[in-house]
Amino acid sequence: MFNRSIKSTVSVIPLKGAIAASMGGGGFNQSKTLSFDGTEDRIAKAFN
Amino acid sequence: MVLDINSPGGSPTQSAMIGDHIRYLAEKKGVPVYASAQDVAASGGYWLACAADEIYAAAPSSMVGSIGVISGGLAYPKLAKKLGIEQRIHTAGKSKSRMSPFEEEKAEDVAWLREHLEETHNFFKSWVVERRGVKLNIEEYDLDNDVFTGNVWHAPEAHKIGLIDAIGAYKPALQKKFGDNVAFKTFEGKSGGLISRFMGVSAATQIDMDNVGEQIVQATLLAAKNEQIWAPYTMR
Repeated sequence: MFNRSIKSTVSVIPLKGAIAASMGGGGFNQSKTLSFDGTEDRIAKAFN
Repeated sequence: MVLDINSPGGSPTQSAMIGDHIRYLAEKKGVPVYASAQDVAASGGYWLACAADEIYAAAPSSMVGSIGVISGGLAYPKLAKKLGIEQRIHTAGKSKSRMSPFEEEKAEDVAWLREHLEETHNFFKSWVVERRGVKLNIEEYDLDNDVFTGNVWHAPEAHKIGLIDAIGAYKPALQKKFGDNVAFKTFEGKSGGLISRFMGVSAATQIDMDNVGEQIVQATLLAAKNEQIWAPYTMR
């Protein structure tokens, strides 16, 4: 008989920095800042 | 799911979009969401925290709240006049141009701005009431006069008001809730390069070497803006 404990995983999404409007275009973008575009994918991945 | 937050806030629209995205996925997948406020979850940072079902402040010194809206900028009409700078703007639509930094402030523009600030504040208040609901201590605190003032509190007072659920690090709290076997997997964002880390901003796109000077000026301005928004919560 196996006595396997089930390990559950908690996803952690770091949301750190000021929340700025997306700037678009080339060059520097704000980003020790947060925006919807910059977080959408990793939030979705964390929920999968 | 844990939202590990350290944010002084910023754009209300981006905060709402991120918060709504988290709620949409949480409800679709049936996943409980916990938020942890590190040094600060203020203004838009608290807006994000409210996307969680439970909010923890990492330490008693964590700062939480700032349920208010602010708008500000520089204006230099006297300097422009002195230097002989004139602004040439042509519009179709009487309200197309407002709050010019080259002109004296107009009462009509201030009234318009105040209306928008109040409206945005109402969106924020509604979100907090929707998400915190009966957890808000309305027996001891009047929401409009005591809580939705833009004030920010250390964790114990925020807990008393009902803005957060507990004080302490989220890992031991969730291990207590789900068992010692629980594992934590972090979903980090992209970090910037050396210049961006130095400037406090990051390069989300490739740096165009032909415009390095202009980009450094832009980065400096962004770094100054970033510094300004963090200033009230910076204690050493």
